[in-house]
Amino acid sequence: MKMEPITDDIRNKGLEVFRNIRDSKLLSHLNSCRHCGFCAESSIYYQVNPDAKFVPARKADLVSSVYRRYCTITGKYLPGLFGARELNQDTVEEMVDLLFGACTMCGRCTLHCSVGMDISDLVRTGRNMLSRMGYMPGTLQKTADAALGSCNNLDISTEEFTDTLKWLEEDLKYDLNDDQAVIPLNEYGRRILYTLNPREPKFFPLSISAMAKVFHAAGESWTLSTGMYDVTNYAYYSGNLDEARVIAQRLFDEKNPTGTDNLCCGGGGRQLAMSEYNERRISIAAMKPHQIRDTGAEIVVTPCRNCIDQPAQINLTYKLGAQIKTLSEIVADSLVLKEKDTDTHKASSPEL
Amino acid sequence: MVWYHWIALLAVMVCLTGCIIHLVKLVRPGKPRDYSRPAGRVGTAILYSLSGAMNTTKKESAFLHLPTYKAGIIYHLGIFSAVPLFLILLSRSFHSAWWQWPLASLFAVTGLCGFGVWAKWIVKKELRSISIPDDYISNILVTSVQFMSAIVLLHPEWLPVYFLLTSALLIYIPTGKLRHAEFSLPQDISLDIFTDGVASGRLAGCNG
Ligand code: SF4
Ligand code: SF4
Repeated sequence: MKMEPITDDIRNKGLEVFRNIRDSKLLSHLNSCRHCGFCAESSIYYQVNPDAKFVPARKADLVSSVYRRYCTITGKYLPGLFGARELNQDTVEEMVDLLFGACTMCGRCTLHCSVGMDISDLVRTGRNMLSRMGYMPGTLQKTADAALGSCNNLDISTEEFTDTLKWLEEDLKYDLNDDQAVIPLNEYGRRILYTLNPREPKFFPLSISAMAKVFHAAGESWTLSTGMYDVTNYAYYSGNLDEARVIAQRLFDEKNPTGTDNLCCGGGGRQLAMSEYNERRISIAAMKPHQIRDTGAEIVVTPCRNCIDQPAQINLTYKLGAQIKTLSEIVADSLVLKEKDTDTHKASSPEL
Repeated sequence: MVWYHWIALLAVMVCLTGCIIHLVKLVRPGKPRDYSRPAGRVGTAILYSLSGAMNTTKKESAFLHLPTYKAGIIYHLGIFSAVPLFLILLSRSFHSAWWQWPLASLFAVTGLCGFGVWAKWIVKKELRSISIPDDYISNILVTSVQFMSAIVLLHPEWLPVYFLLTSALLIYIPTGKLRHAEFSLPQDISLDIFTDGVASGRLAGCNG
């Protein structure tokens, strides 16, 4: 990747991150690594390609070493002894390659670090430095700009969005043979505000219908909103880890390792938005097909639409022959609505 | 008090001053702003980090590196035992006692574990690639103090060397990696933002 040469001005923009340290947590993690190397195997990047540069501590140290160089007396005067690095062209290039291009920020290494150091937070800090300096990979910068301009990274206009919802609602009413089946939009006072990943209205509108069907069956008071998209939209991230797992377990086997120990699919941390690293992203997913094959699964469930793309590409590349579906699609497909379910649909009273 | 006691006292002062400066710097920015609803307890998290989290069956990093992990725990046991011994030797003149031999043997074992960890750093390529000279120096100082603790318990005539070595270690603590000791507790406290114990780190994880 061709980069603009670093100048003092650019460097200072990056170092601002350390000059305005916002809390003790970051400071503590910047000073905590014991360099024991125990975190190496936690990362899919290292597991698939056991190169020392993929050890999570090495990524964290890229950030900490710059901190030591500019923010500690010992690092300033004895950089060689204390592993303090100049924020120069070489460092920046390595940071871009490893922090953007070789980390999904899945947090698995944090979970297994012998001292609980938040490695993904340090990676995030490093990415923050790089983006302030203008070294964010071009493709990612483009999606970030789109999200800032139009509230969603795919530049979907409000008109396009409402049109999509309109025909989805008509189809839903027809499919369920129920006029009460609706896809509410901008309804004030509803109990649940359901946010979407922009890819849903753009490429996978049927997953919105699936969710609407589930809400309808549950008699929920819910609404979508124009101009509000969830960039994570991750069921586990929403904090309902246990309930999401219970629903999945009723239907399917889980993979091994599972739960919080599960391996990242390789698409997180905005990897999917950076085509510069496509090849590496697909190669580090090499563990996933084994996990999936071991379960004998024909259908692979992901928490949401955001998590579909990488498994879908794994499915194709590694010739798994499985179907990849979201949890809401599976639940919607499995629902058998009784007559009374449709009759007693509650337009629940607003609770907000 | 003889001359080497004074040197050691001076080193204690330097060490404490350095650590206090770091501590002030560390706590000044305050707790992280947390936008999510609070859950879990700080006390439980700290307790977990000092107990369950060290369970060798819980953490992949521990069970995949069992010999080194155990050596590390024993090594740290030696570090924590060396502190009271230093204070005893500093505060009163040396008297022989029944516990000299068992304690000396303990320090010999913990020192060997420290040496093992150091040797692994030299031998393993991945470890070399994430290590810096500070790591090796810190280990050499701490390991030497443990060996010297064993020697001085049996041969008190080595007390001057023991105190000089310990003083060097004390002065070195605030400068480099060894200050991690000071950053460990705040780090444990920060576990409270990772609600529900272990699941935490990963909840902050996937963001597409
Ligand atoms: S956050 Fe995930 S991808 Fe990044 S270094 Fe850690 S384990 Fe590897
Ligand atoms: S396990 Fe934690 S302390 Fe050890 S090298 Fe990795 S990040 Fe550093």
